[in-house]
Amino acid sequence: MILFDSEVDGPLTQRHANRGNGPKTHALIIGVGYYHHLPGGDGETTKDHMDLEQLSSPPMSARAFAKWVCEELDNPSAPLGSVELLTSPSSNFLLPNGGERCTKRATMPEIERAFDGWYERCDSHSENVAVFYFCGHGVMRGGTILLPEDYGMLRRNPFKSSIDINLTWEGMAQCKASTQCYFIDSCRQVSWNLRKQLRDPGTALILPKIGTRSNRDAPLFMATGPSNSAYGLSSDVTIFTKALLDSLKRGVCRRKGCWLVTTTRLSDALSLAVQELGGNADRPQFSGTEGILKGNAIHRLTEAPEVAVWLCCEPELATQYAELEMFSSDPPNNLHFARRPPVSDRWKIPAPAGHYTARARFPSAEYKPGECSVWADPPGPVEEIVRVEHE
Amino acid sequence: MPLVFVHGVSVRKDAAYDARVRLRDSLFRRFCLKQIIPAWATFDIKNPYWGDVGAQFKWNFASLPEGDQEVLGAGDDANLLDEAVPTSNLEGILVSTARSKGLVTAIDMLWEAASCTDNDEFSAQLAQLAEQALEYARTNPRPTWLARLADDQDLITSLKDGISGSDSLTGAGEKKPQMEMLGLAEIWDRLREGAGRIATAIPATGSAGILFLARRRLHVGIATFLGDVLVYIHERDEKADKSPIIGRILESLDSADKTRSSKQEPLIVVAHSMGGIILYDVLTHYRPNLRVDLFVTVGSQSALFEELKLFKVSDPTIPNFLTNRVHAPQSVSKWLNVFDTNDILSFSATGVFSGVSDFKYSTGKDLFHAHSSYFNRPSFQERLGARIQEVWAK
Repeated sequence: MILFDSEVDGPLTQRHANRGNGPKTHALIIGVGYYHHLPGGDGETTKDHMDLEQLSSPPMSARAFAKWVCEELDNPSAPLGSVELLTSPSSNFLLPNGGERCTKRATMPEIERAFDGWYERCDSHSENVAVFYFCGHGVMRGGTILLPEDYGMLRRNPFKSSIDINLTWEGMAQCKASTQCYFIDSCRQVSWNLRKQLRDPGTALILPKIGTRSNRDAPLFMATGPSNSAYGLSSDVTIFTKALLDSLKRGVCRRKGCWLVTTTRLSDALSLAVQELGGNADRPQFSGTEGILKGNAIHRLTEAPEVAVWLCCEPELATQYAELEMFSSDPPNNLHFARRPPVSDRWKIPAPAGHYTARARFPSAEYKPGECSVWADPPGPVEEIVRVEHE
Repeated sequence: MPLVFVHGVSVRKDAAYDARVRLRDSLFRRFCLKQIIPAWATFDIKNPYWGDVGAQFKWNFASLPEGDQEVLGAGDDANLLDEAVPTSNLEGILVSTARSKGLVTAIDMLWEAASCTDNDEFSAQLAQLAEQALEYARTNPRPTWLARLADDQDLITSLKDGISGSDSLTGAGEKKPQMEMLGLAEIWDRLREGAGRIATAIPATGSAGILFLARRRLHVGIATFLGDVLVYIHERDEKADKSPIIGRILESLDSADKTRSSKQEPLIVVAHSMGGIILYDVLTHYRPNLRVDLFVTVGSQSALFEELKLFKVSDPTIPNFLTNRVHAPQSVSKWLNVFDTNDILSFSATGVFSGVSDFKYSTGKDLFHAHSSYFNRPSFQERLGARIQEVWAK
């Protein structure tokens, strides 16, 4: 059973008000933590297990993303139309309207079935937004290959249960949906086991066809670069999905008076967020965006997002004596933030996105006052300098 | 803190040279230096290379008997088979070796095959895993799971389970919260690839062509060996310290000595094969005052050269009524000589020199291949480390 379908269930929230046959957002969300044929699974362990282990973070991450889609997604141009959530192991999911649904297991047959339904819904309107999310094991040969719960089921063709996401992405050029976002939260290491195959063994959920004309905005937001790893803490949401949920709050631009999450800004925000969360760890993770990126809007924020602004003086020595203030331009000259000396460090201000004027004064030091213009531009961080002179 | 490694004869920079040096350095650090040096992980190791100024074959081995076979592609995996136990199962070489010669030998083979990496960090990880694998193999030399294995990939899976303490064959234990990787463990994948390379290195049949290629490889090896020795002696006597080979070694040693002097730290010098001859000449003639805290010769012919009185400082009157043996170089504090009874090119030193400790080690390889099989074997490094610790403590 599909997790949520506005045609059947009506809108989950006011944001998802049904607009008849207008464009919709349709999400297919997959999280695989249990692998039946990998060590620790209940099935016969495949010879091609590649030392992959059972995971706990992907189903949690998939549920966290599904929760965001159901509760937070706000796209007036394409309200939420449907959500399909598959997780291994299966679990109950509580909808915002109080309804509870049990998720289907993320086996290859279930994924193929869910994909076909999702494809049909996405293909129903050219301005639809298609969202595909996968979290679980991934490996790489020519393309990235994602592993569902039943990977390794066939002894002589273990990759029959696997998804070639690059081929699938190419095949999706046939889908009318003009905005298609793919979030792939998995490793992309090049396994020896795959290198010894004569051909890429993964399965396309839809085969690419020649002669397909598509003007789609179709980014592949990858949790990590080719041949690299992606991580998550056990029983917690993965680094990439945490970064994604954070980036959906700050990967925005201003259009017609609205703060809109666009594919291009989301890409910038995701790279930064993954770097912040995973860049300093023992095992660093760096995400990247592939595919086609055009900047279509996929979500709207009701208020300005917070942007980290770093402020200091030049010469640097003056910073510790400065009384620093930030005034917003809208409304004009409204004092938002102030810091009094003495303080030794640069000043970090979490400011709502917008334009500000920063001023530095020196009640107890021999510098002239100075000011500078500050654009707190999402996703940030923004660094500005107030240049001052000795009296 | 410096260690200088001087290689022996027949060493040339092929595609795998850098990877072999990287793994050797990592194994040195983890198994030998860790025993005696607190900052072993960052210990500076210099590897002066002199193969390019060794023997040059102007007709590219035209003097060797010809055949009409040629290899269309790289054939550098043949040495992986040197100690393999014959088996009809092409994917069970490691299993057969482990069953007949023990898990330690199989681990040595596996690590040698997996040594190709262009990444220092990865080499260090490989060395760390080797330490864990050997520790496991020492306590489980013939684990019961050996009987149940179908192929080499199974052996790696069971070894991994054994090292990690869990056992997928009998059920997994409770796991603590930890970082999960949404993909494979690269280090194990590299070992699996190594096992795969061992399997594919086996010729399909014992054809005349294959036998010819094996013989030619051996022939080229012996020619290069002799060539390097002759070139060294000729240039040493003709050009003295202007000899390119001696020049390369002196450059590294002088640099290491400078580092040692400025940091007040020990200088360790390790030599393989003819590297021991070159270093003996250097430490007795070209740099007699260079203080070396530990001198390690492995598979070396130093004693043979002294018996033939071929060193610069060789005294033809020794042995005599008063002096039974030649004293180790005066500037060397401790000298450890390692030889393999299977290695016909390695020699005992204590019968000729005083002030040296001999250490016998068996690579288990055949008479010719044993000579090049010491340093990338975790079990050798482990035992060398233990012996160095003993000598160092004296």
